[in-house]
Formats: sequence, C-alpha cells, structure tokens
Amino acid sequence: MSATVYSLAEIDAQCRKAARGAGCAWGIAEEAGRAARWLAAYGLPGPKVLAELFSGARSCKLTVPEEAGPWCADKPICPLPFGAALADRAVQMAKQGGMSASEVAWPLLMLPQAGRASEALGQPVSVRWDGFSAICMPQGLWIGEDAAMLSKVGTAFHSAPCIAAEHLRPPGREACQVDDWDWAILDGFAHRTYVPATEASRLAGAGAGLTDND
Amino acid sequence: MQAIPHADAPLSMRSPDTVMRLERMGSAHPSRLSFMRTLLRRLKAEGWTVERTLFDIDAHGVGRAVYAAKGPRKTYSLVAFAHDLPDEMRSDRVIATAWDSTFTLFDGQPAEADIERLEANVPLQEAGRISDNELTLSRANRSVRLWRHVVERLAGGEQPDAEQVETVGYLMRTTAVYGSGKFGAADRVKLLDRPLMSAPFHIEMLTVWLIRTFTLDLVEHMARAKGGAQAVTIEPALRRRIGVGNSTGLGMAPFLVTHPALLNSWIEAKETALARVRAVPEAGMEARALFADLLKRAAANVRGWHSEHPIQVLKLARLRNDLSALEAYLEGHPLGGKYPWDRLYRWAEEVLSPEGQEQLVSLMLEPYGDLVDDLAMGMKVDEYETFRIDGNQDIGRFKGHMNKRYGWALNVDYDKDAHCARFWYVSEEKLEPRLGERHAEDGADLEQPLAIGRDIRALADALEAYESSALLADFLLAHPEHRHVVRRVQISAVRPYAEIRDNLIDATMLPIDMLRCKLAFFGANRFDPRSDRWVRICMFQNAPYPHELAGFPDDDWAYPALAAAVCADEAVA
Repeated sequence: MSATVYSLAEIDAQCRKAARGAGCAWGIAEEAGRAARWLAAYGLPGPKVLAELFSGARSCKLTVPEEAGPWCADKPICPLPFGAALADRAVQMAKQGGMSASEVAWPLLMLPQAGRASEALGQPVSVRWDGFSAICMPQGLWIGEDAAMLSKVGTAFHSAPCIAAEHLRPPGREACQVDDWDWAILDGFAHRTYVPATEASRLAGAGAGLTDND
Repeated sequence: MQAIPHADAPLSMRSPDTVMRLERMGSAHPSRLSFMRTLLRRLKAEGWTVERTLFDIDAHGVGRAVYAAKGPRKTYSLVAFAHDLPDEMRSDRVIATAWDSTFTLFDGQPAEADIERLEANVPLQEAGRISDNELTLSRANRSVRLWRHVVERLAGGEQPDAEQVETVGYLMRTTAVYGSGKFGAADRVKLLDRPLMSAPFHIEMLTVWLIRTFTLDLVEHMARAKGGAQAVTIEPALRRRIGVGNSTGLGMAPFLVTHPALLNSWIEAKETALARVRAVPEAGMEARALFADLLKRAAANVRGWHSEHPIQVLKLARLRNDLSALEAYLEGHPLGGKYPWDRLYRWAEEVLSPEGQEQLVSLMLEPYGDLVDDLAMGMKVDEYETFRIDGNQDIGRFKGHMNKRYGWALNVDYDKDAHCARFWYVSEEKLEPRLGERHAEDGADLEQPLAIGRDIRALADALEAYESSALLADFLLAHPEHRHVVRRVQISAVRPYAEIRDNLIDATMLPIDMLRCKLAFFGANRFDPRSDRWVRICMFQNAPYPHELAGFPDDDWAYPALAAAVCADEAVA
C-alpha cells in the first residue's frame, strides 16, 4: 500500500478536522487530533485507528456507571469521549482503583488519554485489555503485551495508576508515514467541515478589495 | 547603566479590558520585543554570517540560489527558485498557483540531490511536498512598479528614485511563509532544542530576512544583465530602505484565537515591559536623548506610511497629530521628576488616540533594553502542557474564573442579528479560513469554533443546571459540546491576556485588527489595510543586510535614520 510522510502537526490538524467531520464536538475533535499525534510520535498508527473508528459502529453518549462498575453501552464505547472522561476523572479513577469498560472500540486511542491522566496524577497509568498491556506517561510509553494492539474492540478494558516502569521510551519528533488509504478516509471526513465556495464568497469571504498586482 | 525600578514603584499592568480589545490590538506597533528585532539581536550577538553558496540565475531571472546562514551551532540555508512569471498570473491571493520566486529554509546545507528534490516541489507550494529537513515554505511576487524602475535605473548606471523606493518600500512581497510542519516541513517539536526556537517565529523571520537579501541580489543581477558594464548597484543607505512586502489575509486571523496561551505570553511580555519602564523612578539624560531622537524618527516613519483605506487614513491622521502633541508636551515636560514615564503614559491615555498610545508604548521601551529585553525569552509556550482540562475542578470555582475573565462575553445578546452577523468557516476550495454573513449565506452549520463570546454565553447557560459542588468532569461528560470553551476558561484563569475581549462574529468586527496585532509582534510596519480583511505590510525595512550586521549600530533599525543622518553616514563612508 502506498504511503506519504506527514509531519506530526499535519496529522494533528487532519485528525482534528476528520473527527469534527465525523460528528465529534469541537473539544473532543481537538483531543482526537492530539491523540493521533501522540500515537504517531511513538510510531503507532494513530491516523489509521481513527480512520477505522470513524468507519465503524460506536457509542459516543456515555454515562457514569453506578457504584464504580465497568462502563457499558449498547455498542463498543467510543474511545474519544471515554478517553476524555479518563483524563477528566483521573482523580476519581485513582480513588476507585481504576476505570473499566466491557468493550472499547479501537482502544489504542485510550493510550494518549492515559498519558493525560498520568499528567493529572503525577504518576504513570497502566492500560490493558485482553491481549494488550501498556504504561503511559505524558512523555513516555512502555508496551508489554501487544498481540491485540490493533483490536477493533478491546474487551475487559482496565486503566489504573501504577508504579513507574523502567523502560518507558520517549516520543519521537520525526515526521511519520501514513497509508494513503487511511489518509483519504480521514480526508473524506475532514471534507465535511468545509464550505463550498460561491462566486460571491470567493470575493467577499477573503476580502478581495483593491488590486494586489502593483 | 539603566535605572532600576524601586520596590515601591507604581508597577501597574494595563488591564486586559483595555489591552485585549480589537480596536487596541488593531493599533499595535512593533517594539523591541518583536520577533524581527529579537532575531537580529541574537544573530548579531552570536556572530552569524550569511554566505551565498549558489547563484545560478539567467538573464531572464530564472534559476536558483542558496544562502547559507551560519551560526555557532547550526547552519540554515534559504533555497530560492526564481521564475519568469507573466504579469497576468501574478496574484497575492492565496488562490494563486504561480509566483515570481519560491523558497524553502533547509536545515543545514543542501546537497545537489536536495536541491533537485526541492526544485520539483517548492515551486508548486501547497501542491508540492517538502520533508522535515525543511523548516519553512514561502513564495514572493515582485512589486511590478518598483521592480521595473529599479532595474532600469541601475542598468543605466543611475540610482533609483528615493521617493519611489520610499513610497513602495519593497521589491518583493511574500504572500505566505508557512512553518511548523505545514506541507511536510519539520514539526515544531523537532526543533525544540534549537536556540533559534527560543522565540516564536524566528525560523520564519530568518527566512524573510534571507529572502530580502536574495531579492536585492536578484534585482542587481537583472540590472547587470540588461545594462552590462554600465550597470551599478544600489547605494547602501537606499538599499536598506527596501524591506520585504507582505500581503496577509484571513488565513492568519484565527491564529490568535486558536493559541490563547501563546497570545497571553506575547501580550504579557509587552505589558510587563511597559510596566517596568513606567516604574523607572528617574529618566537619565541618555535615555531622554534617545527617546527624543527616536520620536523624531518615528514621526518620519509615519510621514512615509501611506494607506488608501478610510479607516487607516483616519488613524494615520490622528497618529500624526498625536506625535506632534507628544513633541509639544515634551517641550513643556522634559521627563524630569519622579516616575516620568508613568506620568507621560498617563497623559497619553487622556490625550492620544489608541494609535498614538501604542506608538508611545513602543518608543518608551526603546531606551530600556537592559530592563526589558529578557522578557523576549518568555514569549513561547509549550501548548501540550496547557491542553489538559482539570476535570476535578468544581463548578463553583470554574464559574468564578469564567465570570472574572469573560464579563465582556456574558453581557452580549447573541440573538440580535448584529451580534451574530458573521460566521468563520473553512473554504472547500482553498482550505483557508473565511468569514461569511450568517443571515445571507449558506454554511453557518459548518462554523469554526471562533465565536468565543457566544460559546462562553452558551456554556454559562448550561452550567446553570449544576450545583457549585458538582465536578467539571461530570458536566463535560454530559455536555461535550462545551468542551472547547471549558478548556479556554481554564487556560485564561491563569493567563489574563489569553483572550481577545471582543465579539468575533459581530457585524462591526474588523479582521484586520487581529492581523495587525500579530504582524506587529512579528515586527512589521507600514500597515496598509486593503479591505477589512487583508493588509499589506513591510518587513525588515531599514534593517541591516547580513554583510552589514556586525558593523551596524546595535539594534538600531526599527525607525528610519533621519535624512540628515543618512547624509552624514554617506559622507563618512
């Protein structure tokens, strides 16, 4: 499959727009862009999982479970609002010994938000689901088991504060390859946020004003 | 040695309610904290040199050139491609597809293979791809009127007419300088350890400074091609009068809104500088003399600053009056006594227009580099660190911050047509920000999140249903639609200057005010609005060229040398 190299900033911007085009609230779309960027900086396929996520079924409307039980919904939970909730509720999550969900769609997208939760708590946060385990920090990642890293649905998801891992690696700063197919899917969603030009808007929208060739 | 303020000095910062209004931001002037100034100070202090390592351009002005800027640790090279563009294809609009010259700033010194790769992409601009060995992507068009005049004069062995040079101010104008990861260029984080990144936009400003040198080399090359042995080069003082023009449109306007923490750091640095100078207990004779000299030079600068836009015409007329009033005031009050700068500023607040006040602010900082230049180091922000929302905050506390910072937003009736007249959108055609009329155009359902005031009002309404003790995390789970403004409130809570305190969708809103604020921080001057949403400016006018930097008086280029001073310079030379 052909691929193109994109800067982290381009990945962030494209994924933010795509998330908005896929129906996310602006604040969640911002988090989606940052999440894809965070994953890409570790060499993980952030744009790909977002493209897959937006193409499948997921539950975006979430409610806090009774008595600290696992988070549930009628479809796999969308990792964008759930990830935001993990970061927002880091303190409660720590008090309750963790945060669980029965099924999370494309759970790799939870890692960046576990990094944010770690930022709030000042200690590393672990993430695991069936066939995968990792430890996240704002500027560090360790992946243990990775067989189910690219699961469409992560079962028995659990995230909790943990003791510092020794082998955390720092994020990279280089541009990343993204499959053209995935980029095109994101482009399709991003496109939904653009307003088609009309002859009037071409003139007025940018303000043609006086001549620009003198 | 500058006077150090006393502990009991009246160190008062101007209120965000004054500073963050669009009218005030749209009257901003460049200062010694502007990025062009701080860049050239750094380059001079570190002994940077610039070497033209390639100049392969034919008599029609087609070819390529490389300028290598060498610092103590790194080399950055401007790679320039010169084209022969028919007049009818020349447009500064972002919708253009061809330009007179195209550029990239290469990280290091490019090999032939790099140049070939770049030659296949850089001339295409947005339609090409660069790599993270490149830091910026830019293009420029000639000023048709001045370019022809200068080539003809130089080819005939004569100097260009100083008045024509003065009127236009530039030979080429850039129509975009893209940085920070655009079109495949290196991401900001890749350069974090570079000292050149210690201030924002230094990479972009370095690109423009090198473009200026290339432009002058190119015009002299074309004159030689035309005039042969008869041709001359431009005299140094007149050469320095030539800056780089720029047309900036709506594409730049949202930046100040989408980077609230960064905006705060810029404004806070400048306001702190002003407060420090106002707190100086006594003005030394040296500072007074420098201020008086610069005031004359600023007045000369304003005399050469033209615009046909009715708003700017009016502002310039007032500014000229303001500078006369200031000179007259200083004759009667020659900065003696205690806290003279504070008294001067207080007088100005009563008497001068915002243009005049902001010009004065910039001038007051000039004699006090020792006191304020360190603030330039605080003008960048790690936006990763400002992004996380503290969901553990209770609603009562959150509302306290919101009410304190957003009073300006909460008291507007956004149901009134005039107060929601506009919407910001991204055009499908050029993927650029645009401004639409909500009540006359389609597309408002695809509005960008730049209607901050209105969205804050909606947030406040939604919060009504929540107890003060409830957690923000619970509110956000139920109301993700308010998440983007919740983030802004938390960023603003500890950053008083993070937010433009005006309604950005109001019928009377002028995008050029946002553009001017940002461009003044770059260090641009000669702001010339061409409509309510794009503006012409000049960059690096009067600045030394690379070969002059080491011998040029320290950081003394923001205001033009007076005509008498120019003559004296030439006599000495």
